[in-house]
Amino acid sequence: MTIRIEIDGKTVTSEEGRTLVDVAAEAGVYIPTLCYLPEHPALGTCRVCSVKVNGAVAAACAVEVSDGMRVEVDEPETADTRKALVEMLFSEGNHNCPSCEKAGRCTLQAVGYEVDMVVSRFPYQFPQRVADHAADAIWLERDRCIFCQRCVEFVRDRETGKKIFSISGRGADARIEIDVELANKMSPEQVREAVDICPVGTILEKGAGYDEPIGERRYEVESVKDRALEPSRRHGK
Amino acid sequence: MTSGIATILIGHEPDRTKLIDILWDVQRESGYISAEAAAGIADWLGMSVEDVLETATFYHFFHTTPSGRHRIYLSNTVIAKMHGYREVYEALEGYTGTRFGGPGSADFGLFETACVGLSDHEPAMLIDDVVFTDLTPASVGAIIKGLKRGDSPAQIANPAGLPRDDVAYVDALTRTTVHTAGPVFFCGDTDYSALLHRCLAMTPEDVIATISESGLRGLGGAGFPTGNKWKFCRAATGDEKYIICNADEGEPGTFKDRALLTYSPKQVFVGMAIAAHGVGARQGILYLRAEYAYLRDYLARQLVELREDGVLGDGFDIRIQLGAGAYICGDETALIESCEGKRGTPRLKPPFPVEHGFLGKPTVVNNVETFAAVSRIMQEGAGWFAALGVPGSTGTRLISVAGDCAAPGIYEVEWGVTLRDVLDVVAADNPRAVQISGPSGEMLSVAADADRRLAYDDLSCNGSFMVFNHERDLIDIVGDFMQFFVDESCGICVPCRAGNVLLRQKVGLVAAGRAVRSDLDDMVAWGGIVAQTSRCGLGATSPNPILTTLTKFPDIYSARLRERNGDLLPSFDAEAELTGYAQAVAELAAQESL
Repeated sequence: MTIRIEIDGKTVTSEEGRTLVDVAAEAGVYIPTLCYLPEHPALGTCRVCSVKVNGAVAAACAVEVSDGMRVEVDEPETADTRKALVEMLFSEGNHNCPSCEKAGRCTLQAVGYEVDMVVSRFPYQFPQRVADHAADAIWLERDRCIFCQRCVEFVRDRETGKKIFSISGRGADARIEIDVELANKMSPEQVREAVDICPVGTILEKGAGYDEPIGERRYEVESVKDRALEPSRRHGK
Repeated sequence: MTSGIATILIGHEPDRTKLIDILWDVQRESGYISAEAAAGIADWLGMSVEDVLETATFYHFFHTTPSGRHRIYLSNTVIAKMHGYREVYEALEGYTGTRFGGPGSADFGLFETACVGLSDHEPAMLIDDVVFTDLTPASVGAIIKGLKRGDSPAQIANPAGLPRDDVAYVDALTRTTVHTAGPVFFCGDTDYSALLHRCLAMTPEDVIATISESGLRGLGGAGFPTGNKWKFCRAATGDEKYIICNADEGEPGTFKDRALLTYSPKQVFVGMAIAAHGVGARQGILYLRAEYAYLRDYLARQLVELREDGVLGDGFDIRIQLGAGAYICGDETALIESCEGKRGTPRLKPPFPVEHGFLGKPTVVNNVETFAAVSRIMQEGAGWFAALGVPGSTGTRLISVAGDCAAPGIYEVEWGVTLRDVLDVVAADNPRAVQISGPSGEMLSVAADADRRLAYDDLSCNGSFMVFNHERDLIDIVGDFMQFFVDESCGICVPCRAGNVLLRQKVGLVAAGRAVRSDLDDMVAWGGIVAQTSRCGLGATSPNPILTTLTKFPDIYSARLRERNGDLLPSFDAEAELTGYAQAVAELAAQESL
């Protein structure tokens, strides 16, 4: 059923029940995301897509549009809330962009620029996190993990469907784990898919660092916002 | 794989939803879940090893390293801290010769745990699945001595050898004081078989209409109209539907569901059977928090008796699912995930459980007290129930009273009662503040709020009622509550996982006398962000201890703020700066000598 919603005062038509992030993007309104992938079910973990829906804050990746919905994206308080969530991630982990090989193609970094983040308002936590090099082709740089759960949900053993990546522990003590036996069965293509699905520099391919020169990296040639608003980029890579 | 683990696995269907049961059996057998056991379980259930550990490491009663022959969990709730917790803590370390948070010994592992639902008898601790209450250093000494002698915790707690499936056993362990009898709860036994058959003779629609007319709202705290929930579930497509009773009573300070399960279990189970008739469900689950494991055999016997009486087993039956330690499982979608053998991570909504619940099937989740009220409503009638209470908040509710009062225990109050009346009834001792609905609720000022009413449009109490007198340090209590949320956040979303840590740190600054005015502004702003953007009710309410005390008791904060120190800004902590420098020099010197 075709419905009408309002985004920042502009009337937008859509099919009922579609995801708000997608509907907004098609209408030319960028809502920042870190965990959301249009081709997959919403994870709703990063909350960076928080907007106001009928006056209440909601994560736009988990909102199905319905007729008459009033959405505020470009509203100062909510925009600052999104920025705060990105800042919270920078203060929670250890994100040293200049030395990270994912710089320039890291979604967290790109979204940080997009929300005009300069420095985190929150005290940096400097957690002690141990890297994991046990798998043959993949290493985990846990300092940078934002627990988006993309790898946990969307990277599975091709033969059995078992989880390759998982989370252990709970709350602030949670950490990402890799099932080494299953990881060592991954094809080189699947390893690269896992590296690519990671929005930060946590899942990395051994022996393949710094392979794109500065100036040619993903978000240096096209901003995360422009990529999100371009239909051909939204579906698939 | 050891033969013990192989035997455990053979005893369970190779079904992922059985994972928590299997993990419990393994831990009871070996004291912990070893890498080898995890691999065996993974193989049996067709999961990756890390996926098994993903579930195991989520719950705080599961251990993946050796945790001693006896695992001792001391409740660290604020109520315990008002009643000699520190002395008991030290006595436990002394008598066992091990440390909390340490590796433990072959015999003992010491762990702190959140409220175990015994705020009427703190300090309290769990040893294996037995509970010990009203602890003192002397009683701790006797208990540890007994364990060292080779007695089991059950032998020590129950020297009379009462059968574990008897109410006398549960009573001996917990000695619950229920101060009221009726109108809705604790009003004597009834002929449940006759009641259920009367309900079964009604159409499901009439049963739901009766519940709707009564005005009953979910008594777990959220207050959703029960009749509507059932109606949505009945209307949902699918012929396989489930009724789940939420007995994960984890809100610190509450213990009324424990009392209902002890003294009125059949009232609860029959309420579930009535709901099953209403929505068209054939299977029910009682999700029992692990802290209440000592109730399991008793409840299982109640189910057997109900089957013998023909109340259960013909068209609808109930099984008990034991949790494993996670406050978040009180959230209905997290509870469903846990029933499926997974981490207790709240789901994204929509879809709601009434359409997409347990195993993706339409499911009604109601609290223990709600189901007990259902039985009573069907017995006495919707009009009778609706005449109790006030408009919008009909009927009564149970409150669990603890803290500074002469008569802690369970009370039934009609909705609409004032805070002042409740404080009088429980003989509160010089009360200054009441934490209503637990840490996720509100800190009330007795001076300002005494005439407010318990009602969904005023104080929507979830059953927790903790009284604090003028001697208590409210900042310490706020710090404790925030630590609780840090410990219990599932970690799935950013604001709750990272934000609560930041808020906890800010309260610590205040408590240490190192906060400045802008820290208070930060707490309000950051608390708002956490509350607004979190994925579930835990994060939506976790800043409440700070936000409500800042409103009600601003003085407790301003009295501890650092003031301007001569020429220095108040935020400049000269002592910390100088110590930091000395510390850095010392650390660098140690590194250079390597």
